[in-house]
Amino acid sequence: MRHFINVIVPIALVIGLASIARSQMDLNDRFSALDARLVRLDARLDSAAKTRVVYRSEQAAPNVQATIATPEVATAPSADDERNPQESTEADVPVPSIAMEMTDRGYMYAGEWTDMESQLATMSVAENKKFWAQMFDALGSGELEVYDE
Amino acid sequence: MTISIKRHLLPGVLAAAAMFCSIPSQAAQTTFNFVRVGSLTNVDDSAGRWQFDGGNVFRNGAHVGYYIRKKRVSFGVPSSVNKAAVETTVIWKWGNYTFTTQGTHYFGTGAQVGGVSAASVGFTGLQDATYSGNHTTMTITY
Repeated sequence: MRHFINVIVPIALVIGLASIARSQMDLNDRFSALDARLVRLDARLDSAAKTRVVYRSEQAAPNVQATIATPEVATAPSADDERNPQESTEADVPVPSIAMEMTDRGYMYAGEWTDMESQLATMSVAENKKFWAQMFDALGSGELEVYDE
Repeated sequence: MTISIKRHLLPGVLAAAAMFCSIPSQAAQTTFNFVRVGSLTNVDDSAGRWQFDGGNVFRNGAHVGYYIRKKRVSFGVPSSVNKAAVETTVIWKWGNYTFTTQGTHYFGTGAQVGGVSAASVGFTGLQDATYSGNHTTMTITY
């Protein structure tokens, strides 16, 4: 019995302590991995916020649709429909006005509204290519939100 | 003397080679979808035929603009060729931006090829672009 207490019990205590220490180390590793994942997630969220681009407009969508619908008249010309351009009909008038009304459009980049007109007007060709490459990729992918107020 | 010239030329040649190698080949592509509003209209004359249509332009399902397209068939081109000159102007939905493509349309398959012939401020990046597609899609390489 004394032999059992002197030999077996210390061995069992050592094994038990080692097991507890190992569990503690596994737990620490899991917490470290979780921290790393949270850091990566933060970085992705931060990146997504910076690339989010939103078009903004002061032009109401129904008015746009109303003006756009008119070119149907122009899509069905006939051979003898040679109107003098000076004699523009009411249907012809809204087309140039659309561009004028939309010049106040802008986009939001990194949380700030930016005047798209001035940005595009001052871009170099290379910058313009990069701009549209980003815009075209973003369109329809969910990164670029297009809406009319 | 020859060695001296070589020594002087070598850095220049190396620099030129480095510049050539560093020229980026960043050809990007984007595809637009055309959805006609109304019907295709033929207008015949003594020299051939015009075809007109127009409608909405989409990018990945997002409505981004409008198009106006005209095709010209000429009796001067043999019927075996079966191609028309095609010109398409895309009016961007926002701002005062447009670009126009010119090319050919093959009636046998509907295939179109060409390039961007005019680009407004805002689309200067498309100035030297080419395109291919058909009457419903246009893939621009710029």
